[in-house]
Amino acid sequence: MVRAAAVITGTPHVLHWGWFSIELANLLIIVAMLVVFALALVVPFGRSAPARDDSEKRS
Amino acid sequence: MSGVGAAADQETAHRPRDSWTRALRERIERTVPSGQALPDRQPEYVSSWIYVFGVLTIASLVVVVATGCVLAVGGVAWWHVSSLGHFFNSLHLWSVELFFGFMVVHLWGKFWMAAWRGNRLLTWVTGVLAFVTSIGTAFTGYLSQSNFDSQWISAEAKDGINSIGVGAWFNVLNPGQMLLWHVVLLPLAIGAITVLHVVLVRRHGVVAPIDAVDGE
Amino acid sequence: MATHTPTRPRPTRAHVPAPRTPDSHSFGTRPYDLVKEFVIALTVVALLTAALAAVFSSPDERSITMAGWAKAAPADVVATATSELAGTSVSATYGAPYNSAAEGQKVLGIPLQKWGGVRIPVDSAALVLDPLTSAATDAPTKAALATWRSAPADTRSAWAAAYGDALAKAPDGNPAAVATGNYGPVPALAQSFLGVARSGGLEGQLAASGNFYGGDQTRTILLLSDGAYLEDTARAQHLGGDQWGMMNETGNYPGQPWMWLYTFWYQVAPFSSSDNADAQVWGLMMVLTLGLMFLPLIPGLRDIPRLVPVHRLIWRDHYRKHPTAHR
Repeated sequence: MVRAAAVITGTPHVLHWGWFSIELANLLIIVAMLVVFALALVVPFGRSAPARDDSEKRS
Repeated sequence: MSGVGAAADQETAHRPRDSWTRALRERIERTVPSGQALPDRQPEYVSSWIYVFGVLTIASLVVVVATGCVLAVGGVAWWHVSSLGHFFNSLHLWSVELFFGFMVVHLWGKFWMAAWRGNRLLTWVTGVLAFVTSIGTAFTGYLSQSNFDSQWISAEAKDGINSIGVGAWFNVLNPGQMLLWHVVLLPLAIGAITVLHVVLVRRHGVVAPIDAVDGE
Repeated sequence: MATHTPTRPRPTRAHVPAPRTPDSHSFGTRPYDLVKEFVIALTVVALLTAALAAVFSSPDERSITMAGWAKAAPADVVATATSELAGTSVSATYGAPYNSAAEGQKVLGIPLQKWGGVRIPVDSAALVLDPLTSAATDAPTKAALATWRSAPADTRSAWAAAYGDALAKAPDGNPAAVATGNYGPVPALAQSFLGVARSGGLEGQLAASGNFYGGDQTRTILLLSDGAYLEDTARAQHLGGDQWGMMNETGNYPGQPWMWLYTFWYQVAPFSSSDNADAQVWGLMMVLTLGLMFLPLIPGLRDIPRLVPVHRLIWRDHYRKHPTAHR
């Protein structure tokens, strides 16, 4: 835990590609968001089967 | 019947037609029809994890405001001198990062669903407005840190805001003004926009799938 | 009953109108607990926030004090004080809202900056002279101030400009290594100003403005940003405008990734070399923001979700149960 805090307070890690540069922390956040978005699209939403039985019972 | 019942009926008949109270009550009832404000059923097509990002955004906003309130209890400089204060500052920072992360994923989802269909333009507009207002709120927050960040961000931002003439009124170099915008004016604005956004979602319901047909 | 005569002719061309979005209430439903979902979301976010805060904490780089500036970069303080007296500093030549020294920036020829008006008047020379008048009570400084005040404006500008040039030519901007010249009381004033800063006498001096409670840091930040030390410190942390700095934070902390498009324009031509970059980028971002806000009304853009069928993933359960003949 303490090591993470120590790493994060150091000089910024910056990635450069020509005129484009981005701090590593920001890049990780953006990548995490894209991964989460992709997962949200593909991971099955498993509640529908039991819930459907429930609604049939009601009607 | 009894005298009281007859008197009550008479009073109803004579209630003025221009009652502002009744007009407001009826307006509220019309805005979100009964049972739709807190429904306990949802359309079957709401069947994807992408749908949880709206509520995650609201939940993050609640944590942002709550941690902000604790920081307010201690005052502007508290977090520099107290480890508990610093921890709440950290909570406030990370809940803001989560807030923006969830909000943008929610935006991406709504775009790909073309969620503005079916008279839902205003829902989309209020969503973008919430996004932009949040950026402004975060900005005034960064200016209220009373540390090097605030010094640099205000020194840089003044150029952008002055260039369009707004700096004459909105002085980013004045921490007293920026703090009050951050803790009063902008949170009220975000609160109002969020309420409007959620009311619109409850009113119109969750948008149907693209190319879906009634009654499927 | 009278027949109704249609007032609008039906479209005769083979035009397929956009399909009407069905009412969400005309579909099958399932039970669902809205409040439980919110409570779960709140718990998840609270726990996630607590974990991130405990592991990573948050940055708190100490602010630069006037004394700190004077100790770390004394030559910069002297050069900055000189430029304030010469009227050549960034703040002295800024324009609205601080003074009328420049036209300011324009968007499409419209002088928005100037239209804001000089509503926060700041006298750049006073940034140096006011603290010297109240804080420096030694005889040499008083004499230098008297000499300065009794000289005509042209003479004052000439002294200060000459000393500024000499400082720029001196090795490391060292005031002790400046060539001899006619600088009037400027070297004494600048040196005395450095002394006041070093001793801590400048803290809060410029924020007071006659009011016990002070707090408005306008003059202090203008003075600090007229020097090079503030920007040098920021650039070391990749916070400079041409370093995508608007997105960044000190250390390895995440900053403001949502500012990516705003800062992007500053990195590319023509904005990267434009005198009106701030106003132009603001104008462009306003247009793009309005474009995002009213995207549902923009043909082409609003059709992208239909053309790139990410929605087939989102609603795959529904499409599987209700296959349609048309797309």
